[in-house]
Amino acid sequence: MRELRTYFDELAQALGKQLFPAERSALYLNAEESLFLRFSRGKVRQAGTGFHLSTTLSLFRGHRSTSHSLDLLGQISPDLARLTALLPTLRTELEQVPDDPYLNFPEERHDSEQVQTAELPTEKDLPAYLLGPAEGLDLTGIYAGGPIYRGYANSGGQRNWFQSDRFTLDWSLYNPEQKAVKQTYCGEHFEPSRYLTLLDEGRRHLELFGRPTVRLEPGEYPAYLAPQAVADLFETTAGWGGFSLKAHRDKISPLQLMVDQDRRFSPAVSLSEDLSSGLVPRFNETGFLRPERTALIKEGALDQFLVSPRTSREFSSPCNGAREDEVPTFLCLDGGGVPVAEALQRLGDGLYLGNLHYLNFSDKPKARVTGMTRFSCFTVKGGLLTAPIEKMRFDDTLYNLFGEHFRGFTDQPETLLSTSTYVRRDLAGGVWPGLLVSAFRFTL
Amino acid sequence: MMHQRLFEAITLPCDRLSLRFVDETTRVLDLRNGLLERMDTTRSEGVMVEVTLHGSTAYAATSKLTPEGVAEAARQAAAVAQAIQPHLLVHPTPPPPASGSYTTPHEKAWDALPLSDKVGLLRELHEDLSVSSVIGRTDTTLWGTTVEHHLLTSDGADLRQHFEILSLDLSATAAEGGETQTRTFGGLRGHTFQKGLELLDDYELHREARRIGKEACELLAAEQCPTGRFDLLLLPDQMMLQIHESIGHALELDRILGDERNYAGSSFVKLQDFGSLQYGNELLDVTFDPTIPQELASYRWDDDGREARKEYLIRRGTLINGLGGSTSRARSGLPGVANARASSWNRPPIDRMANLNLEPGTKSLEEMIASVEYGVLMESNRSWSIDDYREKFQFGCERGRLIERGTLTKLVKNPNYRGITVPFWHSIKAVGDVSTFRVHGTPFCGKGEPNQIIRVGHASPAVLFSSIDVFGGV
Repeated sequence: MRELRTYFDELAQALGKQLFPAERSALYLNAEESLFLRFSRGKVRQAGTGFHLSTTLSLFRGHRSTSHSLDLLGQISPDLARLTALLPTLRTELEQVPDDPYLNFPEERHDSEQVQTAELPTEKDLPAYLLGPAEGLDLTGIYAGGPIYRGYANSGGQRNWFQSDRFTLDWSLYNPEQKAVKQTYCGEHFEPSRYLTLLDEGRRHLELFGRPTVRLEPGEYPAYLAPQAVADLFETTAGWGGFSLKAHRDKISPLQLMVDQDRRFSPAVSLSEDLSSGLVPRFNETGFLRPERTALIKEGALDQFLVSPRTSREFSSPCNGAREDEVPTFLCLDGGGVPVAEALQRLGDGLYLGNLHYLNFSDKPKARVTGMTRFSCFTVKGGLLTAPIEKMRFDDTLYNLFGEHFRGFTDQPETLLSTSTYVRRDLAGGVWPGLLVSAFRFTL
Repeated sequence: MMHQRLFEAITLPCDRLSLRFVDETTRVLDLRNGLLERMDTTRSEGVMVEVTLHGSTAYAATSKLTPEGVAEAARQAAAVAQAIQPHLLVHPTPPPPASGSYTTPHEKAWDALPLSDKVGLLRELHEDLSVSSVIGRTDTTLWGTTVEHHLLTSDGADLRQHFEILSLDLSATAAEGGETQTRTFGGLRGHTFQKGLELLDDYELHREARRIGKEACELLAAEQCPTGRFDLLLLPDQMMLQIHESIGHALELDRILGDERNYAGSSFVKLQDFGSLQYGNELLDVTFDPTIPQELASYRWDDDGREARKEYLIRRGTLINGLGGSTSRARSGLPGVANARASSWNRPPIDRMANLNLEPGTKSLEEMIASVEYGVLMESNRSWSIDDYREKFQFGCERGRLIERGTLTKLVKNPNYRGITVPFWHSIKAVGDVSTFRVHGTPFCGKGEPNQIIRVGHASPAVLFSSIDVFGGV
């Protein structure tokens, strides 16, 4: 499918020629070719491939728009015929809908291109790469790899293209008592030796679970949250509109108090959406370019919001190319002054929390979040991991964790790519440090 | 005919071949504050080709619905099947082949009402929701989905199913003095049914919208839900999530067998618990029931082609069966149910909930309220969380009412409760009768690797629990 870009250009160009004078059009492409290998107990549970090419054709006239999405073949002639056949339907719909005062269309042409190619393992090699070294291990998880494409084209001639060959390998290692270590290996070049190193680390970590499990009482504990746990907290916040201008103006953001009552996190908290790694597209689904960096929290205070093209019109605020849902795709939290190697020594006695699970807001306007501990969670004594803990429910506010109880971030944030594959393989990720807090509140 | 032609385009020799075609069209109308913010139509059409070769099964999904496209997919699936053959955990066990068809009973197709009328109705409902100047945001949403399934296999299965799905959502957010409260029409997408547009006639929608707007405003001035251990009366639009999270997922056999441990999680239930575990007290009866016409996940065959019927999973509190399709049935030795389901053509079937219901009891709502000395009634889910073994849960609801000396009294805001699955289901004090029984459903159940979002239905009466850990907001 290396010719997919040419196909997309031709499709957009041919469609543009069929417009009536007052019309404008946009075409957005989502495509992927995937190899999935799902494994459990060190063996293959399900495996297969997927080819999915989807396009969204939007038609604009005056202050009205409508769009239809179709799955296509990837062949210019039949696909053009299907999209062309849609135009009368779209025109009829435009007749029936009211004007949209906040409709926004990229008036200036901004082309962009991000292309990254790599050789990824084939179905022939992959089972041996992944499962050969895991002989005797209770390994469970999934490999998802292959090229991902995004494209935008409009009748004004704008062209944006993103193409990336990448993989995500997401697994956990279980001991006979069903305690587990969670690991991921994601990127653009699969190196079997790197996987072996990680697997060895996981195997050593798993030995700690041989110690008797500690049952904690509800209450507050000093804790170190590993980067994935910190990501879980901010991604939940972002997913519920924490950085969305529209959510703030509608007063449904979990960080509403930061605007309405000037609540702040510690000055050590600075968070941005940073697209400079090139791992996610620099354009959104409606053809607006996104800046390389948008500061969202600066020294503990909310700074900029994510502003979609439509929200920009509605609230007369400059657009920063955010997606329509105003959820970020690549968050970067600045590191702090705690050397990673010294994090547990700084903690002294407390808890190491490797992962959190199933987060949700128990009181959203107050940023009170609940969830569970999961995987790699231990007691810490004298700066050393001592024993695994039974799963615990936490319920605490972000203002406590990143404010009153904040002790510091580690100095070497980790890049974590999204392993989500709902509908299609996700293009998102983030950079996260570990977090030391003086108190983390458990309730059950 | 086209599907048969595509099936015949695959000539490679194999033990078994299965083609599952899915053609799904969803139309979305979303109005925010009375303005049409989203109007789109998405049609997803493709085929999942499954090839079994020398006892090894693999899949290839493709949107290339041409003879060349499906033949290429079959070759890819065969190549994967060959590559994984030395590493297999499971040999999929297809059910006996069947043929037939199923169609959602419905009266009005999506197009029975012109687009402008549908948008007009949603604008009117926005006006109805906007009962006060403190309503800062309204959402009025109508989704209509049509799905065509067609399963063809080399051993003779030929099953066609046609589903019509409608989802109606209304929401009002009131904000004043630093307080924000939202009321919806039964929780997020809680009114999603397998039905046509005639669903709109089932409700007095304008009255419902005014009620939702008014209740959002009232919550602004309400007291916080009290903290303590009280009786808890849950209405069906919260029971939906309670059943889903602390019964449904816990009984999925693929979780119990370990397949989901890296993502959705496992279960506290063990295979040896079936037939003996007292999951709740004698008032608890839970069924897998894909036969209720209006309920969201009704169907006649699952995606492996196994025929679906009503089955008890928990009877008088005892766990007797799990949620597992043909392959899990073979692996576990349990009867299971017809619940091997895929979110679309591009994902393989796994064990899912479908319609998972709590059967009605004998008490009216009034009788249950009258039996409470002090407690809280909660309705409409707004927050949900549970651990990966499905034991320690916490839920939040949109609206609570105190029950004092057998009477509903004050309105309370930010009601939450938490508990542990088995003790919780043992604390049932009364189960509502059929007059309290409501059908709900959600299109958003997530699970699986690769991930899959699927539609599930949950029907339940109101249920009263004793001595539950209840609390309010900050």
